[in-house]
Amino acid sequence: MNNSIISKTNEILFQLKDDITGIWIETIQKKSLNKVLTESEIVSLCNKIIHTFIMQIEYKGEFFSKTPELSDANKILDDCSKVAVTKGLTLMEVSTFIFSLKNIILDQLGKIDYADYISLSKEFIRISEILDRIGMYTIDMYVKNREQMIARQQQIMDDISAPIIQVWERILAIPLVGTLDSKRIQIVMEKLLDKIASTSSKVAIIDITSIPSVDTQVANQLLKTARATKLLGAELIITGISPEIAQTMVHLGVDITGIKTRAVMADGIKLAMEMTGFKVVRLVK
Amino acid sequence: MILYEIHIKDEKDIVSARQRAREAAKNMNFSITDQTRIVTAVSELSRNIYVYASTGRVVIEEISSGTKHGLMITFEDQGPGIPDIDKAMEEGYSTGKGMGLGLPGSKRLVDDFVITSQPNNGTKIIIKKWL
Amino acid sequence: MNSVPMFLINKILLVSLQGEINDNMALSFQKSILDKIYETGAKGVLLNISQLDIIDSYLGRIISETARMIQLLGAKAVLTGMKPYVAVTLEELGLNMQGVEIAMNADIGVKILEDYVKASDFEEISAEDLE
Repeated sequence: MNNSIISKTNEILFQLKDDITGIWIETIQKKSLNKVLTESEIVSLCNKIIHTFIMQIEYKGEFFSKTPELSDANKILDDCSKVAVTKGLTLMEVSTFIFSLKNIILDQLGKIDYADYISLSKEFIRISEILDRIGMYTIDMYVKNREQMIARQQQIMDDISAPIIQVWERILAIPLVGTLDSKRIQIVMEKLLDKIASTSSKVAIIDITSIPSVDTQVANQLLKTARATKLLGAELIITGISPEIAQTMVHLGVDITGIKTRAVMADGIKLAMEMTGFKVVRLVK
Repeated sequence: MILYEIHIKDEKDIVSARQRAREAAKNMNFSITDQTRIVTAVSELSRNIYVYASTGRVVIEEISSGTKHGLMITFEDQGPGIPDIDKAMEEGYSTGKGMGLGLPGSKRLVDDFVITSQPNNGTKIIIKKWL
Repeated sequence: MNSVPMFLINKILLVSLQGEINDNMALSFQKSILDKIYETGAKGVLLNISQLDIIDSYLGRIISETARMIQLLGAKAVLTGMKPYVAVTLEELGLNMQGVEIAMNADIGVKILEDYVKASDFEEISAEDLE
């Protein structure tokens, strides 16, 4: 391939860089992406991607190698995709954003005066490939970053929804919130048993007031937790049992003998205090 | 002599069957304990008809044999039948399992207990209690 | 809708089972008792069955389930008023009413529950006694 043709294209595109960026920004705003992104955010993203584009059209090596120049370019695109994830853009919006650049650039290519159609066609293909690669890489990073963010959020939710609180000297309480599934309870159970051991607690209270319903698996997991707690030399009290849950558990035939249960946490705390050698009295004048 | 015949198609018919059995047993001067046994057996077996066959009938008759007098009650339905009667008459089916057939329990409450049943051909249980 | 009469006295719920109890009623009285315990913080339930002439396996199961549910809520259930001939029949039927505490009469039943209520409540002492 004639390097002079490539150089010609590259130089012209470099000169037109700002114009292209301007048109692109306008196009994006017309596509109502200005509803999710501020003007300065759009400008910043466009500039970064154009910068990457320029880096890549001038790159002379193999595009699949892990050269420093390419990693820099890729890093910029990764950062752009992170912005998209944080701003809550949809996949469609990300695609629209990036691929709207293609027409603009190819349009400019069409205005360059090449010697023949073959040169034009070859440059078209070269530039197209670069733009596609930029687009696909950014989208790929977008998907990966989005999945990571979701996993992190889930982790945060899990942590919030089952905090282990030390309510008294050797009494722990875990208010469970939200929907319970077998896996979550298992995680909570393991955390709890660890905490019991590390704090030498004698009683743990699991409160299920905020849990709307309980199925066999969940009930069995709770029982398992109770038995494991006993093996540690501690005891489990389950509180927050609503009439519905009581009915469900009995109908399911869950064997709750030997496990202490209470309707309200307050009763559980009173029992726990008595079990740890305290006596709670009401003072009257 | 047939005293009462009750068709079972609704849950409230189980109640009727109990009430009729109570009347019959009382009129024949059964002890209060035997009355309770009879009515309880009727309740169990009528409920079986309702639960497993949806419809059927209960016939309460006064019977005698020599100098003995007593009650004979027949429970009949065209329901699914009991595939393994021996198994159904084993202990595990009635206690604790809730909606079990209650057959061995009912058998203990009465003096005679005869059951015939075939899959898809219905079930017939005849119980007798003597004074 | 027929609802079972309940009275709350000093954290003890007095419930009387009477008349004919069918499926719907059984489930709804079960729910009413549990809801009442939950709402009022009642700690004891006295289930009076002196009006029941027979208890078949169905009703027996409902009563025993209800007692277990009451226990799950951290309250205590005591059955009272069981007639001797009903007790005999229940035994022959093979129903053991597991998990249900049975008291000979209402006085004893109430005493058992009062002790339990006291244990779950707070003792009161005056500030001076502490010194």
